[in-house]
Amino acid sequence: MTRVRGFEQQAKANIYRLLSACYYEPCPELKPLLVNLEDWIQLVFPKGTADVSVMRRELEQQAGDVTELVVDYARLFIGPFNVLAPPYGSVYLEKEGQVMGDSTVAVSRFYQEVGLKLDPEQKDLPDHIAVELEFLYYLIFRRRDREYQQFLELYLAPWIDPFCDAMESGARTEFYRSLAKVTRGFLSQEKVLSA
Amino acid sequence: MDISRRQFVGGGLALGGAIAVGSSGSVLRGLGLGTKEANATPADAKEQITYSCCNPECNNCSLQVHVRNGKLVRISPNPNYFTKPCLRGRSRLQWNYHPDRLRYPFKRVGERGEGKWERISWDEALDTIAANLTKIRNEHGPEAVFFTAGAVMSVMPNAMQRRFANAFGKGVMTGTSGSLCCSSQAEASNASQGYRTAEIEAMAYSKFMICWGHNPAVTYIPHWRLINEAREKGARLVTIDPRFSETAAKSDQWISIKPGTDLAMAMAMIRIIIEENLYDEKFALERSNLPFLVNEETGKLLRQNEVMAGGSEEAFVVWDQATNGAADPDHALSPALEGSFTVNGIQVRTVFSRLRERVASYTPEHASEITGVPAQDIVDLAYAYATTKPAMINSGMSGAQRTSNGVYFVQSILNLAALTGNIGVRGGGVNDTAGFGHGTNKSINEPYPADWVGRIPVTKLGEYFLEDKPYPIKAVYWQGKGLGQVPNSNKVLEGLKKMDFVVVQEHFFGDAASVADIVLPVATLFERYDVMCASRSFYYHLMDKAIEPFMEAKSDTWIYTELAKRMGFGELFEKTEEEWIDEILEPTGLSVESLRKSGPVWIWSDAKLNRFGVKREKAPFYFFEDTPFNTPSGRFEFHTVRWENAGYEPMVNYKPPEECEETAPDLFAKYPLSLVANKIRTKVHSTYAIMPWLSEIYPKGWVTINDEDAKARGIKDGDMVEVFNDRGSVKVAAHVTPGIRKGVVAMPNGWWVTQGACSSVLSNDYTHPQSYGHCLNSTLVEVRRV
Repeated sequence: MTRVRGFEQQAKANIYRLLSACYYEPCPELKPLLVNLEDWIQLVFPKGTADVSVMRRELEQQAGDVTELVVDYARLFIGPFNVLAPPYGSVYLEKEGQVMGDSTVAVSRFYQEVGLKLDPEQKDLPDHIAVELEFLYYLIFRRRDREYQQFLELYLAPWIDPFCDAMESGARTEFYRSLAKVTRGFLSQEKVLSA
Repeated sequence: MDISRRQFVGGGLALGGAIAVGSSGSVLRGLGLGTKEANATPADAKEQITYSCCNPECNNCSLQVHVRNGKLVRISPNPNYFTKPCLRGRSRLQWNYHPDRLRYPFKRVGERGEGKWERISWDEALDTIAANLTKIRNEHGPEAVFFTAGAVMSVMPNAMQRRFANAFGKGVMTGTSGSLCCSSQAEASNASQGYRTAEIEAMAYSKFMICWGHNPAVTYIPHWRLINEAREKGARLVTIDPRFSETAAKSDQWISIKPGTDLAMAMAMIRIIIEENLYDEKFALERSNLPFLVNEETGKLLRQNEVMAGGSEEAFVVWDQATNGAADPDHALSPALEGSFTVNGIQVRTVFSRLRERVASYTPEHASEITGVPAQDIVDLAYAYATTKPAMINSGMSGAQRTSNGVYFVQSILNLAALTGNIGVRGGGVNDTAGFGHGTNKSINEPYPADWVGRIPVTKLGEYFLEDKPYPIKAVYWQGKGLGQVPNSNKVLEGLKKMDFVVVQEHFFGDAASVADIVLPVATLFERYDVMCASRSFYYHLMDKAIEPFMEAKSDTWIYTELAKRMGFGELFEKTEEEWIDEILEPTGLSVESLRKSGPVWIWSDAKLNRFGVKREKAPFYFFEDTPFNTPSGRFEFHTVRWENAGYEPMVNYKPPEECEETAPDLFAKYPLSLVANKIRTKVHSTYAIMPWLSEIYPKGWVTINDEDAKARGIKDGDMVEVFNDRGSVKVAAHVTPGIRKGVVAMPNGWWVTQGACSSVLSNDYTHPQSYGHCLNSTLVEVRRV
């Protein structure tokens, strides 16, 4: 039993880490990661496998030139204008819809309490989806179940639905539509399981 | 993207998904394993306060910037300063952390204007810019790159661009002429009195105030308190505006006038004041050039060298009634104010007599026909203005001077103030809320002597770009400037589209960025150092850096410094921002350190700053009482030497505006409504256009239309309508009200072209070389339901 649970935890940790990688700017090197993600997700969230396959195939079809994905990524997450799915928690969690809100500071403090801090080279905000996913990976990996549950419930779960909705309706590529679906699906399962 | 992370994650997982615990620091891109320092950071650091100053073309209020844990948490008023920031200044908090804030450098990947962008590194962005600018300079000369920056009243961003542009061409540059705000105001003030004044604090002492085409209740909110102070003491307030503006609503009287005809009304008031002997004869004789003699044949002022042996060409002549002959103005015993004389066979007449003749046809009835203002209102206003002292014409950078007649309109209100002896009087004069350029940044602006090979009028960017005037421009370096403020904005966008290369440096992705090749994210006011010394007040402010730049944003200074290094003139950019500011402040005896300690400093506290020759034993001083007129005659000039020399009409002179029934009947047949653009309380030009707090007040643009005009077009309040002319079309909601003149529509100004509702798309880009002013309020449009 312990072994099974350990294996499941490893799968989830890897899924978090791989999903996190999908929220950085796309590059051809993502392909092997998606192959991995497909495998891991089949084990603990089989409903998401088809979506990851779509992502992998789309990346394969782009054969080295990922400009289309880069442009879609920019439209969705970084701008330069009218960002369709801002990847920051505070935009969804706070009334003002600002970045660098009080929740951003709270997330940063949560990292600190666990003993982590943002890489100073990293100019992005602590409540970026990729950072939060990566943090959840870390918490599972370190078996910090209580913090895992707390962080998921307080800081990521409340905004993942509106974020994924915005991403799904804004995306022009199947890649990001599927990423939205698999992210939402996996996290809602996790929320139920961890609650 | 970070290559090492990518390779590591990719490699590691491909090998079977084992997690490399030993290197977890580098596995995590966003997080590094916590260090002792991280854990030692106090959970709730104390709030820190630094001083700054709001830097748009506005009141330049002193701000307190509150920072906690490296995060901006509040903007509050500086309790030791005479104005308090309004809703705009306080919303700067949202500016900094706006979700649409530019976070990274971008390059265009699709067609120009197609909207496809890719994030790039700073190195790639700077290398691309340096390569393109160098190529264009080598092929077409440095003047083929046009540098332009927005209306930032503080020194650093624009001075740094100027320095870069200057060094880039070793002094050779393409310049601009005129301005979008106040060039007519400045030109007429310089010609009549020698410089502009900002008699802001004096408003509280006025007993009668005319807000002429000016709406300070929303445009100068921090000053509005001073106007109300005067009103509490009994001052009357009259507002002249085609629109029942917020200021009109608070006034004792609203005078509704046809746009562009204000000068005719002022000339009628001048006529009444002269005919009814309401003028100040002492001021006229002693401080103005009204008694000066003008050669009737040439229309020019008589010079002493024409009539006196050994006389100077620079000196003027009056008729001395004591000797019945020509005399030097300052030595005549009894100079004649009126009359025709013959001096050395030259037929001459005084400026005063010529002015009387110039305004003779402007009876109240005639002016009423032109302006649409009831004749009795003109008479009453003239009497009230001339018989109450001190009386101030508060015109700001009036909408009335943003017309094709703007220069002479400003001259006419200055004439009114001078005729009634209201100049040099606390609470009198013409308050144009002007700024003071101290010229202390010249050493920064010009490492090489400036050589302006050509100039482009700022209202004509589109036309000049498209028609290769004065020569083909190949690249544009566009910094922090709202394209939707430039009249005929669609043409400007077209002009930018034909460029070989466009760089835009901004906080947000605005109109110019939409057609750029490279877009650079810039640090905001609170993320860099700056200094205010050309402000709407007599104060110097340090704008201290309160927080680190957001994400990948960099200060303008950093960007130009990095570019200069790449382009081989890095040695001209070796200072830090604080060192540059110290250099700017050097002639004043102030420094970054001293201002940081003292807060805002009153300019006259240091004698070296006394550029206007204020008599220092007398404090507080007053302009033109304690300072001379800086004109060729040393007097207030009704017949201006400056314009006479330049070949322009030297005295007030009404002409119907460009684009009206009289001057453009064909256009009027198609577009019978006169468009004016009004400023609103949530914006300073196009600044603050997307702040959420402010957008709650005015989420969308609109057009204000008179109820009769609306009825004739089947338009009801709230209907979506199209406002259009040959320049463009804008769709907005209609605000139907009797609070605007029939035949006039008003659109609030400040929305961007890309947001829609941008009034400048329709605005007239006419300009005249006398001031190269902005004539947006001389525009014809039609409105229809959609």
